[in-house]
Amino acid sequence: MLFNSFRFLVFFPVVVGLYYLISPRFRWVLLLLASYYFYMCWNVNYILLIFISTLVDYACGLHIARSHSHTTKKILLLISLSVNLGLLIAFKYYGFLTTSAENLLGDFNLVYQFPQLDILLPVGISFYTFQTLSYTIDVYRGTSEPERHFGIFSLYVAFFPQLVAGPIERSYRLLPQLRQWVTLNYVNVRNGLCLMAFGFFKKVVVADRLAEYVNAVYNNPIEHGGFSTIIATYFFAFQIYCDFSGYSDIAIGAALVLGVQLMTNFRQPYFSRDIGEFWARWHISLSTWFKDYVYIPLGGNRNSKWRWYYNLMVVFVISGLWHGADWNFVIWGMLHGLFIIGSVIAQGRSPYRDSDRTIVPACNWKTWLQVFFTFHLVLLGWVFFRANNVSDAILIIKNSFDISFFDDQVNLFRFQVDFPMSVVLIVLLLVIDYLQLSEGFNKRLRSLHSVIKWALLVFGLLTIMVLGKFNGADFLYFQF
Amino acid sequence: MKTKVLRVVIFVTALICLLFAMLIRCDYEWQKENVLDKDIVYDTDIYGDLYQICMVDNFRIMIDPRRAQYQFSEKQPSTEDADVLIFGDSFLDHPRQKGIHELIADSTGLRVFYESHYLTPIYMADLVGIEKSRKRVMIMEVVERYVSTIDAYKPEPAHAESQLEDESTSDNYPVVDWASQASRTAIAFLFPKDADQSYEFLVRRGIFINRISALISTIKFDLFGYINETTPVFSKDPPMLFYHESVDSSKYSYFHYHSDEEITAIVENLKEIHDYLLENYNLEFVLFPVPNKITIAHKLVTEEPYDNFLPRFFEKMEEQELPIIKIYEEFVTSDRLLYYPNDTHWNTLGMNLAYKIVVSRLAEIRSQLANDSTLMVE
Repeated sequence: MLFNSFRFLVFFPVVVGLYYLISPRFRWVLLLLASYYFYMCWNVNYILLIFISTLVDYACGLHIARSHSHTTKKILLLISLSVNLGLLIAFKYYGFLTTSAENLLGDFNLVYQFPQLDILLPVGISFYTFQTLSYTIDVYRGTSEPERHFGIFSLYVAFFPQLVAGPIERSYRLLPQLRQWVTLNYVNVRNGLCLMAFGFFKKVVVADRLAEYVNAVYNNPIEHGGFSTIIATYFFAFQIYCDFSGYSDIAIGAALVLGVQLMTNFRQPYFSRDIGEFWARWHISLSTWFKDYVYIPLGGNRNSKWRWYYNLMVVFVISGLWHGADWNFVIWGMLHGLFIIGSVIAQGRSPYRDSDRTIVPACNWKTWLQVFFTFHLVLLGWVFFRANNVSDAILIIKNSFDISFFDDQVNLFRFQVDFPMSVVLIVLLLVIDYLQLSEGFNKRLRSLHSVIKWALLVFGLLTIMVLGKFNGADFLYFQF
Repeated sequence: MKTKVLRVVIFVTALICLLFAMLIRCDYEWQKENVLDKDIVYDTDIYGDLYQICMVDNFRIMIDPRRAQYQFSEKQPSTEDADVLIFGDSFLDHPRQKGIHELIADSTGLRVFYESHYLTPIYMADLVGIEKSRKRVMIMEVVERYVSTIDAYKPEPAHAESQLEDESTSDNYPVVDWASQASRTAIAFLFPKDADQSYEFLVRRGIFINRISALISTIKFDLFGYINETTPVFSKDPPMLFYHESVDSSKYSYFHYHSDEEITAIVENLKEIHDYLLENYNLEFVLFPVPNKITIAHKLVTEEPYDNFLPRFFEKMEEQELPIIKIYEEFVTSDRLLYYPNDTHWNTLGMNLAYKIVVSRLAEIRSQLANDSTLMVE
């Protein structure tokens, strides 16, 4: 079920209504059923994968905690890792791995064809796999207690607001919230709805509008000149930001209406001063996951310099692969790895720092230069991320240097008004993000009179209805 | 206090949504009877099929309501009894006036059999059970943009037989047991196919809420020029909507240039159909192409000249001695509006003009057939 679908707009109020109607004791049952229903609306059969993940990690978690033998704990952890990663590899990477192997063998004049699996990529498999993995690893490390209630644990794996595209929650944050008895809280509901409305605005008004232009260029790069290509790349940077952060806002808002606080996933990433900071502001739940479960176990920065750089590169290549089973995602990850190593060499400090440091509104030109430079490094990465394949990405980069103002068809929108409107929306979004950099802005918003706040919400909803693109476009991160 | 109000709002909203969830699971006929606005749903609409899509009030102009379909009336003869067989498309299927087929039946006394052709005249002739008998005329009405897609598909007898066998087998030996059937029914109920489209349909056509949808669409149109992508081209003065297929970048479009080779290929295909129907059913296949609305009214929206597809096509058909009913010339020279502004189809004037041409051409062809001694005529 897509958040931006009629089905969700009907499903969510029904769930919320029932949630606050029934006894808190049975709410987990309702949420679990609702979560499975939410997932099964996409594909009924693939709920089996979630069952398997749930069963294996529940059992492994309990037995790891009970066992006193280190070897047994290790074996149980390995079972959990093998099952979860096995499913992920089978469903997401099998095609990519076999095609790559066939191509490699072909380079040595060896012809071999692996059997083809005609399977659909399960929506959100990368997200819920990482979430359950983090649980088993935390229990193994002893940083989390195992969940003994099978129903609550199942809900932790399948909690619908964040099931298919995150944020990837940690067990020690989410499980206690799922156990607690929530009472209807006006502020939570209001804030949750506002966040959802802002998420919908970002998705259907901004991202889906920009997508029209981006798709026209990126799906047919050979036919577009430099100017259109550059505009499409800038537009894509904001499309993916609005698409994914919009999804996160809806997820966090929906959970908040149900009294559950999910972690923040985005903090104005395009105002980052270096790539390290970008990753502390972009898809925070994933980058902290990689930090905790890949980077630190590899040794982090407590090694020789070269080993440190190697660790960083490994993390980003895996991150690239996590995003998509194709070489362009690997290159995207490698590029970010290189940028981050460059940033580490230049600054001599770990890229994994606190993302809360703020750029005060009255910052100096040097800060703006850093922000500008970082944004353009990210932009280069987005070319590989969005292009349909590596050769298309190279063609797009090549095209970007071929500026021909007069030959290029700049406005590829169906409606003339969409081009200036897209630019205005991007500027508006940047202004909002910039204001949100300062703590005071959110406080001022909260302190507004409630009539003004409701008026703003109604205005926002009307804007969504009038300017929204309601073609049921998928969220980009669903494919991961 | 705030929490109490919120609780009430949440429960009321949940109830409304639950109601919606139940409504989309109801039978379409029940929905039409109870919750849909009949004025804007197919087969009872009075604002045109294109208005139904875009819902912009500038095009909410009342037109003739649809009539009961001739093919379900008592006038419809069996294929065996019919003197003339007419296979039609949307211009005749569910017209807003007495259709050409009905007018012919009423005015000439001929027994006219009517059926939809779904662009496969040979297949449909077989499907409706036409037998080879006396020589008869089979008229096929088709809109201009689909002339190139008429399919010479012929049913394969072996395939049809095996299909029949499969059906009879499944009657006697159900493939699924009751348990799996029950679970399938439950799944189909819980996860209805195309649920989003059903919700959208209900929101846009619902008796109380369609005006809100229309208001939003109209605001979008007036402020930003946004209109549904299925009706992308329009004229405001006079109001006129055009269907996307006839104006997009496809081969059906007005803007597609039909090369001579393309036209030759179309004619060859039609000749194959003509000869097959003549040989196997003793039917004289007569094509009746109806000009696209944009072909006649293109000056309202574009300066691009017409590629003269229809006149060029008629010429090639005549070269091959294939019978055809030509209404293009009369339509293009008429100074009257022959199509509804908010519908893909002709209005009463257009239909009447076409009828006159069809009926006179039919008489001509029938008299030619009667005079042709080589043919098996009743």
